[in-house]
Amino acid sequence: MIPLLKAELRKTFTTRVWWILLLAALAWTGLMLAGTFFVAGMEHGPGRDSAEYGAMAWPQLANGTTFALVIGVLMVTTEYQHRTVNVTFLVTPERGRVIGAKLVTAALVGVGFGLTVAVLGGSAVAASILSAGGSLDLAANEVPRVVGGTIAAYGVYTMIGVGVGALVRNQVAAVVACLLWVFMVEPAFMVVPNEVVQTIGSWMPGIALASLYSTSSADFGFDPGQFLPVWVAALALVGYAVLASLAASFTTARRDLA
Amino acid sequence: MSMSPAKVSCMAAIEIREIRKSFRKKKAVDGVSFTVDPGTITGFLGPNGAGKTTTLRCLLGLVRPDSGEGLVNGRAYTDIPDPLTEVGAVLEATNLHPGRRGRDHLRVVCDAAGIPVSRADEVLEEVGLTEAGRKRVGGYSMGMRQRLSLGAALLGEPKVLILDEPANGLDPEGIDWLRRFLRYQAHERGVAVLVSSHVLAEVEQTVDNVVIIAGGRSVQQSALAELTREGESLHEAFLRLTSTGSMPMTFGKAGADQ
Repeated sequence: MIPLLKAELRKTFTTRVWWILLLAALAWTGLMLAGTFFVAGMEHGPGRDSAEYGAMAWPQLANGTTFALVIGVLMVTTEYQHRTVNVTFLVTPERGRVIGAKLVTAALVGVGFGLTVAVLGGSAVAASILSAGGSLDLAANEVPRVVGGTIAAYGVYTMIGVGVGALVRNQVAAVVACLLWVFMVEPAFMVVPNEVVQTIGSWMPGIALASLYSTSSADFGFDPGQFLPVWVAALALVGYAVLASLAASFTTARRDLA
Repeated sequence: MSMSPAKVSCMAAIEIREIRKSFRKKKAVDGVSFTVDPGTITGFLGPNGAGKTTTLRCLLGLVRPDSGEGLVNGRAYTDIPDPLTEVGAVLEATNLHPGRRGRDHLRVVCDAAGIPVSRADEVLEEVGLTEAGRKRVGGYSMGMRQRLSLGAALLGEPKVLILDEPANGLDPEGIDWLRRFLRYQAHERGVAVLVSSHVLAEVEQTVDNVVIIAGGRSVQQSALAELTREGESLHEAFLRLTSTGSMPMTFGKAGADQ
């Protein structure tokens, strides 16, 4: 397994897409943080020294997860797009092992993304609180859980991306499907004011993930009471990752590469 | 990888047994059988769409045949533990990521196959890409892509080479190089070489044996010398064996009148 992991890591880091997506994740997260920063400092805002500002700011670090999802998708679909999958399966005819190596690589790359965003974005949040004269009360806003959950979310999202990519294979279709899911389908479930719809929504991957890093006072346009408990959400996500991997390995193992 | 000489002499390096494969009820290969011995170059010939590529993909475990099997040194490709040290195969020279450097492509393959990455530089020199290896594949000519793909097949120093249309896109110098390369591999290193082509002039200069298929069926397996013994050129023999009669024989008005 180690040789395949080395190969997959080298594949990921020898084209440009990884740092483009990492910069995109940082830029998007930075934009959202900047928005929170200005809103908090406005006339009727809570003020940047308040606990409320911390509760709003820390969960913003998870905004880059969409790009983690996309890099996971690309880790599989570029192989079909550029037909390098032929070379990959000639070297390793047991296709299930290739998918396994891609999933582990995805987890590592995703956690790497999460750590980078958490360190850079987290420093910015801390600096903004301290410079406003606020205190960095980590316990009050559950910062360790929020940041830990954020990093885990990046890892899980990248793995789910690999599953989606292996199932769909077409690069454009897979990326578009993921973006529609994240920006339309899940938010739709969140905004419908119906308890059943919101309960179903709370089990969806992106919203289950949100429960890992959300704070009780953060406003998602979705009553935070509807979030799954953290441990239930974590189990649900493991379930999604397992399902995606099984489906991916099963279909990949059987398909003809004509 | 080591094999007793006695075993080599009694077993073909490549054996195709009655392979049949249909895609959506259309027969692509309909009972192809042939063998390739160590130390020989076999030209695998047939018109476009005759089933050459599908046969090779079945042999290499990328496509699952409906019936029949392909064996390399007596076993299925997918049963070989480290296939790259036994078989080098190139299906299309376009199976490369344009954003990855040539040298990195080879290193990825080394990683996955458990071969030391230093082999990448040795092979780059062997195929004359030492300088170009530092550049991204997107800037390569078709001939350079062919040589890079061939390089990947050489990383494990295999005793069986399977090449699908390796002369495509090569300039005259490249074709001359390929010819000498194949002869060296087969006649000096004792490699079994199977090379598909539809460019007969190229094949005639290089191969020891020919396998001709048409419409998914084998129509000829023999030494090249045997096929052309009666003064018939390979070109004439090929047309006699594979012609479908669907191409017009005359042009212009004369054709219309008849």
